[in-house]
Amino acid sequence: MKASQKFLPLLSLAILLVGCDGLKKGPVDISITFAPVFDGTEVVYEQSLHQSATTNDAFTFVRSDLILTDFSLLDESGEVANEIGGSAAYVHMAGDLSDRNWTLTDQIDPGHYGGIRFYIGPDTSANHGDPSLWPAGHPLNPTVNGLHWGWAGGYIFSALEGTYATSTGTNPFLYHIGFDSNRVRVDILQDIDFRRDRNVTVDFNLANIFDGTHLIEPAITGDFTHSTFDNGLASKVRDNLMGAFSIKDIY
Amino acid sequence: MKYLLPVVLSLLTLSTTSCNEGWNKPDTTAYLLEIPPGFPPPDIAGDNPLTVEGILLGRQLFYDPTLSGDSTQSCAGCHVSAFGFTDSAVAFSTGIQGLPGDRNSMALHNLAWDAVFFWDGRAASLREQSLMPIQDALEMDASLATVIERLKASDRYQKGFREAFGRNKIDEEHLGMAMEQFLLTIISGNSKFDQVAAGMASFTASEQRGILLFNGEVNPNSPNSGADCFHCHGGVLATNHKLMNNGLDFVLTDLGLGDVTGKASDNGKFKVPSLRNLAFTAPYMHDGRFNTLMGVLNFYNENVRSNSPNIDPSMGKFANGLGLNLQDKMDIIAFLNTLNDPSIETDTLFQNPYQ
Repeated sequence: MKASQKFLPLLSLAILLVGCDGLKKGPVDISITFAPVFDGTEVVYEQSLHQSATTNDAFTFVRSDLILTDFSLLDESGEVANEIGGSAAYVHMAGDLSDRNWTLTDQIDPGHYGGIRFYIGPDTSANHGDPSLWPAGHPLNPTVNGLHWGWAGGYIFSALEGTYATSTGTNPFLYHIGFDSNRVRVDILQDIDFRRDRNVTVDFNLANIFDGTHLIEPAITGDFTHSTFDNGLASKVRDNLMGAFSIKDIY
Repeated sequence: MKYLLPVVLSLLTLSTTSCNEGWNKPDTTAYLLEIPPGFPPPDIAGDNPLTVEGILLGRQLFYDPTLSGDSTQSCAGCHVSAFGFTDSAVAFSTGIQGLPGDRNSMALHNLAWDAVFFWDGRAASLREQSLMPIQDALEMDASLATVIERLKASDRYQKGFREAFGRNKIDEEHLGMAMEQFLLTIISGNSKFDQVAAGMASFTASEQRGILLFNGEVNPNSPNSGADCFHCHGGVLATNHKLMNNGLDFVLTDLGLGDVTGKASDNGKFKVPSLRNLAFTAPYMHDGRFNTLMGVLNFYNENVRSNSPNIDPSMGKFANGLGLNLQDKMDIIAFLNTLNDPSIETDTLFQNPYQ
């Protein structure tokens, strides 16, 4: 047997492996799954109890619904490198995997990136547009998200509800954040290899709602807001939400 | 020999054609569902396109008592168009055995926008939903096998199913699909509220004050503190489509969604109903405990059980009541009555086709 014949199977295998590395020349697909956690512990809605080390409250969560929009990929300097205009997701954290997934198909140029960006809430135009114009199944269709505030002519960007237990008893909290001034940008800076289709898990840390840029103790700071007449509570929740997201894994 | 290939190909083509459904597809007339202005597009199952023939068949079935065990009770027996497709002012309907049901008959309008059905949300589609009362011992108490046999023996239904779905389609699946088609057409979107939204009418002073209270949050810091109705009943459909515990009871005698899922955290949750057509649909709540809208408002104003298991956070903060006075409540009721759409009672497309 000639040497070339002996190594032919190995050569073929090597070529095969290189050909199957999944690198794409065209646009890649990214599937983002949001995972609700409380300082690293999985949140089971309406069941798990989470003790805050800083506010002395024990939280149970009932609802965390978010409207996310305008997904972008950032370069290493944090500038937008690839913007997916018009992208939107309704994320129902208490639901199953499909309820908290945001899939972007055939819109992202393959490459290395320095992070991802999205906004909590639609832009002013979409926020105040006619909600009945969104097609069936669209994240901004009010029947899909249940987050359109008819009286305010816009959407609730995030609806966060649950209970908090203190030494004196258990009470509900309800934070509904809306209005254009409360639309915030979320940047997650991390080197990401998007040269192939990827599944990304993004942790949503509910502890950050109460202990982030601001310390929010529901019994003291306030346990409900609809973003008006709340002594600035909504803006504190808004600020805290910005830091609640982190990439857990990419595969 | 040279003709062999064409012959084989022709036979193959014929064979393929006869193996698919194309030959059995009826010549139907597509029905375009008219969506009222301001309503979001509904997400309707694509595998059951609305047709004139399918809707008519579903309507015939809806009004046909032969779908019940002793052929005395139709779906329409408990869902009367004159009462907004609920029963006639009773808390519980009476089934064919003379036994009372265990929940209040639900209104059937605007189901095209719903994702789950029944007070406890146990049906995930209208075709699934429509078969359940037929088999329920407290309602129509029939076996589907018996109903299908009766339909197969009927010349009218042989023709109706054939025209709507094709030959040999009288079965459970197509019975449900026909009912689904009819139910999807019961749309209510021509109330005074809709006319005001379209700029064709205006609210009275009382109605205007009522809508402000309806859409106002309970907030002692706000100069416009309201009744917080919008949380669960906001938007043009007047429902958030969710299943929630609104704090009716501390001790639960009906577990609602909890009976369906087996999860303690779902106990006491029921479907949030649309507030359209309330003038026709009394009594109110899943057990019909309130005969009047004033009774409903008195409950929300003063009697919400904030310690009810799994009470929704949006209700749980009403422990101290809403603080509405009599005039507030009367104004809210005035507004609620603008959501009545009399066409639900009179639209001939919804009426009994046998009369």
